[in-house]
Amino acid sequence: MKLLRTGGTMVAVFLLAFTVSLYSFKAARGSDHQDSPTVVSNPLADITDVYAFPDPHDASRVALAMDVRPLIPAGMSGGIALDPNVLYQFKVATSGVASGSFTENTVIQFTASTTGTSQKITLYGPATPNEVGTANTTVGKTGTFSFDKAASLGKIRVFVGPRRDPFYFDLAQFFKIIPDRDYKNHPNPPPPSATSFRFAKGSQPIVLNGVSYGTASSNGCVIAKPHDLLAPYDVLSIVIEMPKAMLAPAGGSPSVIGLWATTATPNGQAE
Amino acid sequence: MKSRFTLALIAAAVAGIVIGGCNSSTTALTPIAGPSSPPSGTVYKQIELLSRPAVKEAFEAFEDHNKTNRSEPYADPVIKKQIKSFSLLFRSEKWADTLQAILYPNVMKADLSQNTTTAAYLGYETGGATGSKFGGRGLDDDVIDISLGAIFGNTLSALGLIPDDKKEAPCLATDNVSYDKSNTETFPYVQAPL
Repeated sequence: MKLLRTGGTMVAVFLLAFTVSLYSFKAARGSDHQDSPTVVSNPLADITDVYAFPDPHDASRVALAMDVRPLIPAGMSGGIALDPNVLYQFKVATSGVASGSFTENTVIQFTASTTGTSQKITLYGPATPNEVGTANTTVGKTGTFSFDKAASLGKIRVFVGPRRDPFYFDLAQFFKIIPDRDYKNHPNPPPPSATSFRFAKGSQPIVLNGVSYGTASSNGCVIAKPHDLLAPYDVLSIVIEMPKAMLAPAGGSPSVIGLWATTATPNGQAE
Repeated sequence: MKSRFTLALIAAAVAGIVIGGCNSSTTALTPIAGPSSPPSGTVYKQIELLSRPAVKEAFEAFEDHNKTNRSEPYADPVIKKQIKSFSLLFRSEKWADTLQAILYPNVMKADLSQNTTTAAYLGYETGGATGSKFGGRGLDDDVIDISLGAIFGNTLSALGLIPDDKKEAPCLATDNVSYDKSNTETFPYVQAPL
């Protein structure tokens, strides 16, 4: 194909240029970083992933999920529950998304009654938010349910509890490629120590969207066993499933939604 | 990223586990919040934001994450510019502009009018090219390879959105990690803890 690349020298030159440019980019931003982000101080407020997918058995229903509390080692999720000081929210724009002109007009909120796994979780909404923006109060209460037990509240199903982290990524290698993104490298992240993800074999073909780009070796890629850093870890999952109609614009049918998740605290700090 | 997740936070936690060992990890898992939830009417102030995986983590400098975390995704003061400036390090201006147009505002889009039981990350934005016009994000979607393919691979040109700029970086276009977890067909769908 037209994009076939087998020139190892050219690739090496490109990767070197990429490395230098990446480091220069970071250096240009300065290295006088502040302390770690707020959520480092409270991993229970740290959202790791957001998901939105249909019920696999019922296309009229949709599930939203957010994971928090990263890197719970296998077998150690007992005793870990939501932070009662945190408001966990799904924010949804049910109209204007296709045109790019929107704000949130529906929110789904969760709070926990107390610390520990005996906590009760309160669901608020889905409902029109009291406030649009980053300072929020709770909307009308929909119901309460127990931590780590799936529950039904009318046509809504909810769950909050420990689950295996569904995310997968060779995160360690990513941090070698872009050290700035690794928290422990701050305030003075080093230059990149890799210009490639890991490929198991030099003979591994690289085919992108049907176009061949040679092999791992011919491109000068790192030859080593890839590793999913997240494989041995759990998270806390917040999952809600409901009829799509609950996320329809006022007076309309379900359409394109824009979804994001937030955590918030009364003082805007970690605790 | 942490894609998804907050990459830096994972790194911080990993560092703590590695340095502290198992006992320290156990201590670190103890909730640190107060004993009960605030009263009704409390105003909560946003400290964290996440939508699409790998956007904040790939494009935005670590020092600016806190700004994005405290913003609405349609009024983010930094990430729109950084999507383009980061992309320009290794792609053409047209490629960078296209990435910026697709990824900002940074919200996960799902077309609920689709009569399907399948999600596919960036499926709405790509007309179903990633597997389903529903879009959203399924639990097993390879969001990293989809993202890396758009940033470092040929995804945008393969979709016919723009011509190939011939600046692909094949060694960066996949992380070579496959999904090997066991989610379920029943609510809450996510695999039970380890």
